[in-house]
Amino acid sequence: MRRFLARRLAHGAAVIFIAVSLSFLLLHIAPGDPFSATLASASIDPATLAQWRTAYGLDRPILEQYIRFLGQAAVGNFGPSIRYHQPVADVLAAAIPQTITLMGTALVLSFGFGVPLGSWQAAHRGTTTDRIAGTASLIVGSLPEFWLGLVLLLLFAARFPILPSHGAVDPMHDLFPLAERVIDRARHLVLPALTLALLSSASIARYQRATLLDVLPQDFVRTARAKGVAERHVLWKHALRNALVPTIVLAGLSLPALIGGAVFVERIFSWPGMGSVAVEAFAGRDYQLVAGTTVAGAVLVVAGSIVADLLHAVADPRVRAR
Amino acid sequence: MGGTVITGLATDVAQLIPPMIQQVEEKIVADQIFEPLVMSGDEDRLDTGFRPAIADRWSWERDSMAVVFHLNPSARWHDGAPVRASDVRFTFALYTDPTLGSQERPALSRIDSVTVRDSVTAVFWFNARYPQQFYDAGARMLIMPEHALASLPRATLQTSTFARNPIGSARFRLSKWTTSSIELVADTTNYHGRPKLDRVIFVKVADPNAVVAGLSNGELDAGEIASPQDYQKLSAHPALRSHMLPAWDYAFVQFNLADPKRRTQPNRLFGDIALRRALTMAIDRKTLVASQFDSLGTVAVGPMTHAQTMADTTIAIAAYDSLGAATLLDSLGWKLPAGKMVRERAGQPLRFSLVVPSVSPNRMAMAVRLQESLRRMGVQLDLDVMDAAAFTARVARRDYDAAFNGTRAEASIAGLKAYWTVAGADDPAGRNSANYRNPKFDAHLDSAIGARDITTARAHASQAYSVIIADMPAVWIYEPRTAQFTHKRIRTAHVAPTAWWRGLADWSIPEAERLPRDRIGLKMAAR
Amino acid sequence: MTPMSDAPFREPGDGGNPAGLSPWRAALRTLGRDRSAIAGTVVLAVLGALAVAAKHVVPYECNAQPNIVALKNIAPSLAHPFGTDEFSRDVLSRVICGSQVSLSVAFLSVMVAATLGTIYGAVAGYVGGMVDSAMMRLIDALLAIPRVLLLIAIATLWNGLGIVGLVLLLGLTGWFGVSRLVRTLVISAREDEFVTAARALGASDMRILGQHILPQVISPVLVSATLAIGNVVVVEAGLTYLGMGVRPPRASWGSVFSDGMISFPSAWWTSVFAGLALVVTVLAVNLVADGLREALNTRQLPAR
Repeated sequence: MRRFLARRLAHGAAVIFIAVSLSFLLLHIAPGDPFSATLASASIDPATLAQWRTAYGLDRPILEQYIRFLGQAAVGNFGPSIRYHQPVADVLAAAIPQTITLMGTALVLSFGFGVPLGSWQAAHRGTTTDRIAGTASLIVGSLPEFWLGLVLLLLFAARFPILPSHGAVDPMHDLFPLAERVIDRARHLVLPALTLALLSSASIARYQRATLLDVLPQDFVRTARAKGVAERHVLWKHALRNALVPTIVLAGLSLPALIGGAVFVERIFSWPGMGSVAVEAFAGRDYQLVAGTTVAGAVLVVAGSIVADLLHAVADPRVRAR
Repeated sequence: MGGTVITGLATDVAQLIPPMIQQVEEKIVADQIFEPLVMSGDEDRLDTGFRPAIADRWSWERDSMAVVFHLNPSARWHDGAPVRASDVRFTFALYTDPTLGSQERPALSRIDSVTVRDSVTAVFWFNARYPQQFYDAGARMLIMPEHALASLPRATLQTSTFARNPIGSARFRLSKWTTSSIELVADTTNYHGRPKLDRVIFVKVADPNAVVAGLSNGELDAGEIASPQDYQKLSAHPALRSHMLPAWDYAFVQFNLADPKRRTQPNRLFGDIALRRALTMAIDRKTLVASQFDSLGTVAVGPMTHAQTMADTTIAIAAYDSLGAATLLDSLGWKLPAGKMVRERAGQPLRFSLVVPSVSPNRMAMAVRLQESLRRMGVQLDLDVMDAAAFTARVARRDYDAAFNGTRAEASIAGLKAYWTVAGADDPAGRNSANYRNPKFDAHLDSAIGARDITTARAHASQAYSVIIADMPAVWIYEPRTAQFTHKRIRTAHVAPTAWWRGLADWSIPEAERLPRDRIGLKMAAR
Repeated sequence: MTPMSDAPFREPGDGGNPAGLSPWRAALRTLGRDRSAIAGTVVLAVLGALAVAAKHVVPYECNAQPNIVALKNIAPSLAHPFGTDEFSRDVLSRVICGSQVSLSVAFLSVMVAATLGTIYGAVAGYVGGMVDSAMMRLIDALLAIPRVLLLIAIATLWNGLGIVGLVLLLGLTGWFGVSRLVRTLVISAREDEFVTAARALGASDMRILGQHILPQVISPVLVSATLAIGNVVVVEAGLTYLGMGVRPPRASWGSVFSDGMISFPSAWWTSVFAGLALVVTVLAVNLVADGLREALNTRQLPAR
């Protein structure tokens, strides 16, 4: 097990190294540099500019800049964000937990709804309800995130104002007592997480249904039936056991898409996560910040997939032996 | 005492160092934390109506060539240190430092120096006598603490700790600053007396729909609304009160009169006044404004707004005349080749790009309307959209052909100096990004600023406006009005038309009407 | 969000190929019996036709603003079935014109991605060994970066992409998954008896790749590409909504959507109909892809 973990960590480290190098490459083949793209004050004279360039090492040979970049990235230093006037690391440190919270909740909700739905569909396959559920999830899964998010926002924050329309917490959150703080966070999470979860649970239900139908050996069912055990009982037991492994795999695979999909949802709901930060970085032509978000996204995905792989290995011993 | 006001801001506040303030959102927050020597009255008159702020009295010397400010001896910074005259001198040095590039610098050019007579007396020495002396010296600059800033290197001031943790002397203190909101709390030991509110929270709300939703469901207590549909919707809301603000902004398409790459050469298109005239005639400003704003906006009348005292709204701008514009373009050689949509002259299409800031939904929507208007005239307009900072930088670098600019007018006509005088054009770091040069305009403007009385000043101002409008360095498009909505439980003591946020320290919420969040109090603010 | 191994909606295994038809004919036959796939194909064909003939089909000009005061934000009516937008443009016309940009960007970028991915994956799978490992490690890293974040990063650094730039951007960020798929297929095909026989007979690598291996790769790639078209259409719309896509006054479903946001929700029709176009396209694409997957799964290996 430890060897497996070590191998996975090494693999993860290699992936992150490549992602960081890729960011550096992009930064350098792009036109302009962080200082030509935006200048907050027009009257900064060329001499000061040149000073800044030297201070940030932009006039050193590229190999030296690369080593420096790697070293700084290793400790999470991506330089200053010209959009936020803070170090990129600080901006990311504030944003990443927000994205993880949103992601995590959406993941739990979508599996919590999708797996039982898919299993139920498999148990009742061919019936009208199965077909209706299948069509519904096909349609729901085809909706663009920003569209669904907007509809939900208008329904539940404007038309029937029962939920907040923006942010992760109320502006006065810190002053609430503990119970209210929990409720406040939950209220703000509902709409954005629901948007993401609705979309994911559609695919998960489809996948779960198909996997169950694939995986359930017919003779196993026949044997069980011969033994007098209800087919549905067998199905549910099998569903739970077999759901675990592909579910974990699916969770790992869907991480990049989830983190990416959050960008639009975060924008609609003003959720202060990495997606919002990336969009702001784009608006402000903030090179350093954009490099930081890319690497941060990769790190999150790698971390998530290592966790998924670990869980997979725990659940399925065959994996460890590979 | 008590209450919390939550208001929305359209963009992030990046930094709060007064001389480096570029956007109105930064000003809104900074005005709560810092204060000038004197406050101008609600009407923002330049010659009268001033109230003490840091300075509690003042007197003139040397036949009006110097003004002496006596600072309130109990004035304290938020960290407890006393406010001293050396802070005033230091502030002046920052505002006039070329490396910081303050927008106020040109207006402060007639102040020769600031000296310290003793720890509570600061003296401003002028180069010349002019009606706005007192305004420029006392009301323009937000005073900053020397002891907190002197040791910081000027070049990196914007990313210094002070930029995110400002220390001022006004009635609110910064309590918390996250990526989505800025929280200010009452400075309970402030020498002016504590504000009636406990706290003010500025929340970043990017989406205009979210502002409307927030005002509707009570998440936001105050906000500015610019769209006619939203205005109608919120006007019907029982819990909101609205206050129409007079327009102090105007938006215009400015042409770069010089070549973007070589400033000494005229622009290949806009160096020619006839072309500028043709374009002005091709744009039906009245219809464009009516379409976008309904009644919430008027057609602009020049580099001014109707609300300014010096404004002369009678000067004629080239009227909309599509036939005349077409004829003029033809006569200039810009003809429509058979089967094509864009006019050409010597093989070159009549095509240019307009730089637009994405942060202004009004300008974005207007730009699309302009695009179509010009397309019907055979002119191809490309839109180059970017955020506020990138837009400011492009325009400042003069690397554009046309830019959709907007200005918040100030009460004084001196605000035009930085943007349209020859000195501003010649100075590579100057703000005359249109490269507009007309010494006659400069002369009239100076006369207006230096005039002894209002009537003479207005006469000179009129002439200055006539000159610049006739030169058509820009097409003056619209003056948007905004409505300030506030929750009805809030008593806004007075709303200065030029800056609705100035009176925040005097807003209050009667005990009987307080919401649960108003009752939270300050006990936890120390966190 | 469509994970790579999205299993079919219908029952697995549909009875093989009893009639012994050629594999492609068998596939077409299965497809022909699949009503939802047919529906999807018809929808896509109609959209495609509209996109190609857009300029001739639209009731009003795509970008014309006939009367920005009187005709602004008209609710859906007989004259304007989808209503008019903030700038008095007919929304139905804008959606039809928008299909031109949205569909062609999606189609072209998916072609770019599929081609790149196939070549990369084929090389990695066929060569094998250290080269394969290294190439796949790179793919792992590229797949780990969330696509939208990568798109935003590139859009920031290369500001001002036109349509061509957009196609390249979407294509160059979309080939990673395909390459993995192709590599797996090539690896399994590599050990195939036909391949071993061919190699024994002295056939060159190129010939083996071209004649024996690639044909097996085509159908899964085809299914994946079809799904990708639906995905990219939505991504393009989202990017335009964020300000990184096509520029005004160009119509694309994303730009019609974001124009509609100006007067949302009072003038809801613009954004809703633009969104609907997206939904219909993605649905159709999903149905066709499912049908293709079904049909091509029953195909037997080429008997050459």
